[in-house]
Amino acid sequence: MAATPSLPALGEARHAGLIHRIGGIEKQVDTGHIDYDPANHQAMTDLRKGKIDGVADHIPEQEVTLGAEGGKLVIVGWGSTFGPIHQAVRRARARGRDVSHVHIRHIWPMPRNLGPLLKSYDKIIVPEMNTGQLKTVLRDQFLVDAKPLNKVSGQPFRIAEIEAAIESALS
Amino acid sequence: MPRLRDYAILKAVQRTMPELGVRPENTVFVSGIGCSSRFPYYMETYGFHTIHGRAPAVATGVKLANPELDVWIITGDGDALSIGGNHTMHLLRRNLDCQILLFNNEIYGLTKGQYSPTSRVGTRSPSTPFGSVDRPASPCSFALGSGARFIARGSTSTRSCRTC
Repeated sequence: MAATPSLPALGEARHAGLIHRIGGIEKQVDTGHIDYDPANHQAMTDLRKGKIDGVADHIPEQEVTLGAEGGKLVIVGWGSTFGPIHQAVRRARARGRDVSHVHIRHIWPMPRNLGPLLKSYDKIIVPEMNTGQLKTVLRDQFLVDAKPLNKVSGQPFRIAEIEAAIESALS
Repeated sequence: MPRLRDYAILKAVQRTMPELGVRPENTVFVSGIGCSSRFPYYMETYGFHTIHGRAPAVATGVKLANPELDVWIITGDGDALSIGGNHTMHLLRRNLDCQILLFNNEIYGLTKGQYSPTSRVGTRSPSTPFGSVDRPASPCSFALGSGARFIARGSTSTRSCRTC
């Protein structure tokens, strides 16, 4: 195959240097031609991982959804559990409990400051409508003692269920 | 066992495109999955190796985004008539301004030779060890029935491949 010119100067062929192919088969670093070489596969895998990790530079830092940075307890949620978590934390705070709500929007890669933020709390509870996937990732990534609160009954969390978990953790 | 002579088709296209004066940067080959669909990697044009049976959907998007592009869909008998049979039918009836090259080798070659929608009755394969019982689909009849405007058929074992 002919080598692709790097940056064509002529207007007539201004798109020629941009010719490329998209596809799932492993390609050679630099040229983009099909390449099954084991070392090349390793290099391309590392390259792709680096690109995904780099996404963290372009997403906002994690903010505390309700409450304070640092404290006795944080409830960490993601997705559709926002409502019951938020209301449970709001009610508990109204009763004077030291609890905050952190709701993660960017699941992977995670915000750069998420680790230090979680470590600023004494206890972490992760309510999830699965058997504890985010909890496992948080424990793996940040070595924090995140505790699960799981429910897979086909029905959403009740505010009272999360309130009960907050009271239990703070008593 | 039926075999796909990909190289004959590749060579025919690689020879014919320059003869037609086609500009590589104005040409896109969009493929699905299968031995046929590795084709874009071997052309010095824009290429998109997409998802099984869904090349027509991606090609439609490409054409919508830039109608000036010369869009070619590369597919096979399994990709176009089984996994993507629905997409193929709608692409044909909509008469998208593109070309479809369907490589029909009457078998799923890439996955070790299971019988396909165009396999003949009695084809022995890993998935039909006692011979297939289904009557084969006819790609040209399918295209006619779906309202295709131009249909042609060629064989890789003859020189007609260059003019098909």
